[in-house]
Amino acid sequence: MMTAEQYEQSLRLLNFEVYMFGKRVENVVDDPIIRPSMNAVAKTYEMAQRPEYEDIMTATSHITGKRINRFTHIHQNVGDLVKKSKMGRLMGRATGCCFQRCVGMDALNALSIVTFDIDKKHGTQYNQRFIKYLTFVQENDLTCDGAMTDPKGNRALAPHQQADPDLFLHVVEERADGVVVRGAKAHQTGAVNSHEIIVMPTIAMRAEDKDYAISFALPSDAKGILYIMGRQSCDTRKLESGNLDRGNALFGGHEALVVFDDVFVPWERIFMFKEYEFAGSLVENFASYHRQSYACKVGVGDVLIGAAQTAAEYNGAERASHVKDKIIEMNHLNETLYCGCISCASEGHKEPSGTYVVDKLLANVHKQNVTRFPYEIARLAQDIAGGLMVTMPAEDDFTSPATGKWLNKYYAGNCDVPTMNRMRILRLIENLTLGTAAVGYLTESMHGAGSPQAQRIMISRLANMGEKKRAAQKLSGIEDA
Amino acid sequence: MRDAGPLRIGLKYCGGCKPDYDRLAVVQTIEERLRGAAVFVRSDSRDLDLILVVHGCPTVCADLSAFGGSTIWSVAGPGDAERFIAHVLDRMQGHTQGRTCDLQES
Ligand SMILES: Cc1cc2nc3c(=O)[nH]c(=O)nc-3n(C[C@H](O)[C@H](O)[C@H](O)COP(=O)(O)OP(=O)(O)OC[C@H]3O[C@@H](n4cnc5c(N)ncnc54)[C@H](O)[C@@H]3O)c2cc1C
Repeated sequence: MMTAEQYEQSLRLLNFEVYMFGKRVENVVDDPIIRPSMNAVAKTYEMAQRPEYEDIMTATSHITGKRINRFTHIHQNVGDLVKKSKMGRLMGRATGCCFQRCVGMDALNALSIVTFDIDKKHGTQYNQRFIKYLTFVQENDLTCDGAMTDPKGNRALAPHQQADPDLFLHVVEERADGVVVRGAKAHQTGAVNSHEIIVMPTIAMRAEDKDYAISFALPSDAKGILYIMGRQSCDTRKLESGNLDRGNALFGGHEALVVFDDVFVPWERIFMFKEYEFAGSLVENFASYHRQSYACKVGVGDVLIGAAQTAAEYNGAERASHVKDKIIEMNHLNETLYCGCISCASEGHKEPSGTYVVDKLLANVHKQNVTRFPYEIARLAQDIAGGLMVTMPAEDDFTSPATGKWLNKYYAGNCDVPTMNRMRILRLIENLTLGTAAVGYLTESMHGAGSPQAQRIMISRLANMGEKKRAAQKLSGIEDA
Repeated sequence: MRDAGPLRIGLKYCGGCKPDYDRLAVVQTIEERLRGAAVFVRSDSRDLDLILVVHGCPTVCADLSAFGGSTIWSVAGPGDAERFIAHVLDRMQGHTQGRTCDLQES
């Protein structure tokens, strides 16, 4: 396994083509806007090395028998699935943001299932290829970007119907040694902190879309791949001196649009090629794992609840009954989320490939809750924090001789607490509910791993209505129930 | 019967997803209070007298499959830690008085 330092060094060896604010980023690792997101991924390496976390953060490879980072592991039993949920909470709490590494783990696990299933039907060799690739990922402790979401253009149209055929990533050329692909993947979490990019189709497909039914993995700096960084609310605060106004002094996340400008993919890195009838299964398996992965929001919720309680204490309001009740409600919502990610893991089962997968109904219910509860937790945190979290002057005003004395005087709360500590906790609440971390805690909770309607479709498909009707009819005395 | 030196105790932690208490602080207390009576090493070390498993909560979910046949003592909170300390001190005292060391899992 790599240490955090080795991980950072390994990124320096990559030759990314990254753009931000209209310019090419020459030094990605040290860029002040990107670096906090690198720190968050580095934490997944650091914590795996520490005895007090290794039981969750590491696993035994079913291929090599070696100790590996759990983010590269294929779940071998229900216990692995449960530990994955626990790891999400642990990491979310340690970083207070999106630590980006779950999406690659979910792509690996989904491919371990679907490559096996394709081979069974078509007599192909994808699973063998995939296992070779997985071994490479595990042996080198790599971070993988799980790239599913295409730009999609007109949402009412299938891939082959789009005015611009590149709005879904597709094959444009077949060669003896591989294929050439063109297109893009949007909203890619941790893209420029990743060694590898694993591409999957976005939606279930029909025969007309078979050129779009492709899955493969490439080094993230492969020729023709370029990255355009997404902005986050308050991102340029990272360029300012001091760290108060960042809210989270250490960590952050990032997303990028990844463009595939006629990129060559060798056959040995291709895990699905035109088997369009398996695109839906890959999406469904990936989405189920990834909906479980929103266990991380419970950990971020822990941070926000801790911040709200601290703010209440700094304000001298912690004994008010309504404040206590709001903290209870925040915990209730957060632990309800935890119930979902633990239960879908506990009810997991073994697929023919040997990989364990979560209970898909419960994973969708969990993610549906995630699209709502963090918003309510954030609302309650803002209620408890008071308006100062959005009207507070800049750190420089606190240190300025002209204004510092007034701010320290008038923004004091509980007099036992330094005013700056009160400001720090309020800035953290701002960061999580309105700033850079709200990307992960709120909008990613809404759309990441699929927008709410995607889960509702799955819930309607998976809920066993026949059994419910039978139970009701039997108890009501209907004869032939 | 083991020789009269300090016990070699392998430390194993659960993963700490939502610990009820500060596991590291409790281990530090155990180490300080047992200084001279025990040395604490990684749980994958050789020649251990026992494994001390530090769980963050009553779920006690640490993976112990690697420790088949070893003597294991679990703590899941500061109270358990006190009992562990008392037990080790008692047994070590018994040992110096000629009794054998019979640490067992609680
Ligand atoms: C912070 C963040 C991180 C992310 N990270 C990743 C990542 O690492 N990898 C990855 O692959 N993806 C990632 N995603 C993408 C995520 O999966 C998508 O945002 C999600 O699938 C929704 O797609 P969209 O954003 O294009 O929204 P849209 O598809 O435009 O959805 C907007 C609304 O339109 C509705 N809608 C869309 N299409 C239809 C239709 N055909 N019929 C009816 N209603 C429709 C939706 O239900 C929704 O209400 C991330 C997203 C976010 C916000």
